[in-house]
Amino acid sequence: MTWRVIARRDWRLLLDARLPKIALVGLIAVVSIAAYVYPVIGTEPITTSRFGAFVSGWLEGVLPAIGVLFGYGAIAREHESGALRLALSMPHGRSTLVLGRFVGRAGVLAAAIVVGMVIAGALVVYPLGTLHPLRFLALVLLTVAHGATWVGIGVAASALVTTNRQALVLAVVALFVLVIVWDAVTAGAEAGIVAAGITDGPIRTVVQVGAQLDPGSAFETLVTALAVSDQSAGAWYDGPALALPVLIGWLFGPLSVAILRFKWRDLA
Amino acid sequence: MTVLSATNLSKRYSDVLALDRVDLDVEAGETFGFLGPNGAGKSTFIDILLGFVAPSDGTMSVFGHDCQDDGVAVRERVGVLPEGYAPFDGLSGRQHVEYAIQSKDVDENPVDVLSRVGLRDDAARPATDYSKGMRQRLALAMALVGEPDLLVLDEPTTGLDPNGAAEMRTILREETDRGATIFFSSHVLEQVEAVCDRVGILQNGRLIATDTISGLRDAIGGGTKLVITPAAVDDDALDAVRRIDGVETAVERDGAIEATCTNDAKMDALVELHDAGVEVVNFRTEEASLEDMFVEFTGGARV
Repeated sequence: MTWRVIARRDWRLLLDARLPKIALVGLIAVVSIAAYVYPVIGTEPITTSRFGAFVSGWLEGVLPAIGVLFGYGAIAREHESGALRLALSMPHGRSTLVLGRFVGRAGVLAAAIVVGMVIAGALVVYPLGTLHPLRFLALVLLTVAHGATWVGIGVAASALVTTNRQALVLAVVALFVLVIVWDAVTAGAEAGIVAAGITDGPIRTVVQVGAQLDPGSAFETLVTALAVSDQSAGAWYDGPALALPVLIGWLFGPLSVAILRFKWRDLA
Repeated sequence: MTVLSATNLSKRYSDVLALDRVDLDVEAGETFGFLGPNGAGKSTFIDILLGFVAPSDGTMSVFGHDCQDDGVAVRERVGVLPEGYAPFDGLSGRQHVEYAIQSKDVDENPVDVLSRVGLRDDAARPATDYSKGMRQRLALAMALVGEPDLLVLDEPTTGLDPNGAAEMRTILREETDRGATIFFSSHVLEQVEAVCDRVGILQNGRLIATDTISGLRDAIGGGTKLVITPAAVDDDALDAVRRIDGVETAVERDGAIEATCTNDAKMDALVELHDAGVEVVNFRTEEASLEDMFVEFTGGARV
């Protein structure tokens, strides 16, 4: 289980570095502020499950940037400096190395999310709110998965290239495409087909399915379905039937591709 | 028992053939020196051994494990001092050794390991602040963790002062005394000559000689070096010596002619110089050094 050794090392390195520490404190602060504001501006009833719908938009804005920040330096920085040669002189496989780096970095983010959510839960419940434990647990787990997805995308970018700068550029491009471009393109397509008078049929379904295929939409759909309300939102593509495999795909897909590429390429 | 075995090993980088059908066996308990000029393919060979790059053709195995398919099993028994490495950002020297101890899943005291390589007093400092020599010591410390059966050292004395190099030699002798095999790549021929039982010479990706140092000496005709000090050295005098049967090389160095030759050719060289009208002020014979043999085998290339 050498991935644990690698994960522990990265956990420690991340907590010792200044920028990740600022990001973690910022994340906890954002979640706590959202929980402080929610009972004031939210409508009755004040519950931890409805807080999920309130905070998911905030998290969608913050988690991708922090996840990418945590991930992009995982492999490429050491590839560029030469420390990767030292890392791979130990009895670790390359897949184990990438996996360990991912687990260590995603673990730090998960711990910060849990801390932030515990504080947020207390702020929502005290003095007049209600705790819905299972749904709140679902919110925490989905947020952890969403954060890990973005760490994975950052780590994948890092394993696919050879310099830290290339990794940063690739990760930021992925962030930009998946967070901003995806929504803009699908919203534009939707507006286009509405303007063309297409209100039903396969073309509209394809566009609406496409709008659910980015990690942020999948996260929001799952939060709505599992942490806020168990009522069906309507079409199959607006519910967990599509969102769950999409989020799992983004969690493991980029990382798996990067591991396969990293495993077989020359590192001289 | 064969520890390391390379069979028909080749590596091509686009249009450059870095290794060309190399066959090599290293036996248990020996200290093997790997020599070659820059760009000869030494680092490529070690990169394949460590699984950093895949061969274009052929195979390499260590303790019977294929270096590509079973690299983790190889590195579980190998301590590595890689060339061109950098320490991890943010970790002290002690934390580096602790990482090696945890990675190899052994129970050792990091302070003892660091003391052995002379880094005990600097254990708490960030390793990125270490000098080049200290970094070499640190990598050696990490390589020594877990008493590996094979030590692979790529240019281990780089950055070390003479005392540091001597300390490294002492450690290597201690390692061979406990039964470890050492694969030692270096461009410092004196280091290789001082510690190695057997030597391989690599040139342009081809392994052109593999033997003990005395075996290499025999291969170049007894390995005698004749150092002649004439009144004046000119090209005619050098050519006169080079023409003699049994003379392998003849070069001018510091006003003297240095010729590697068979024992029988020694007197012929002196007679030839006399006949050519060259006044010989002094002469002596020496055993050919590894450098002389290296020059002989590689046709003049320098490490």
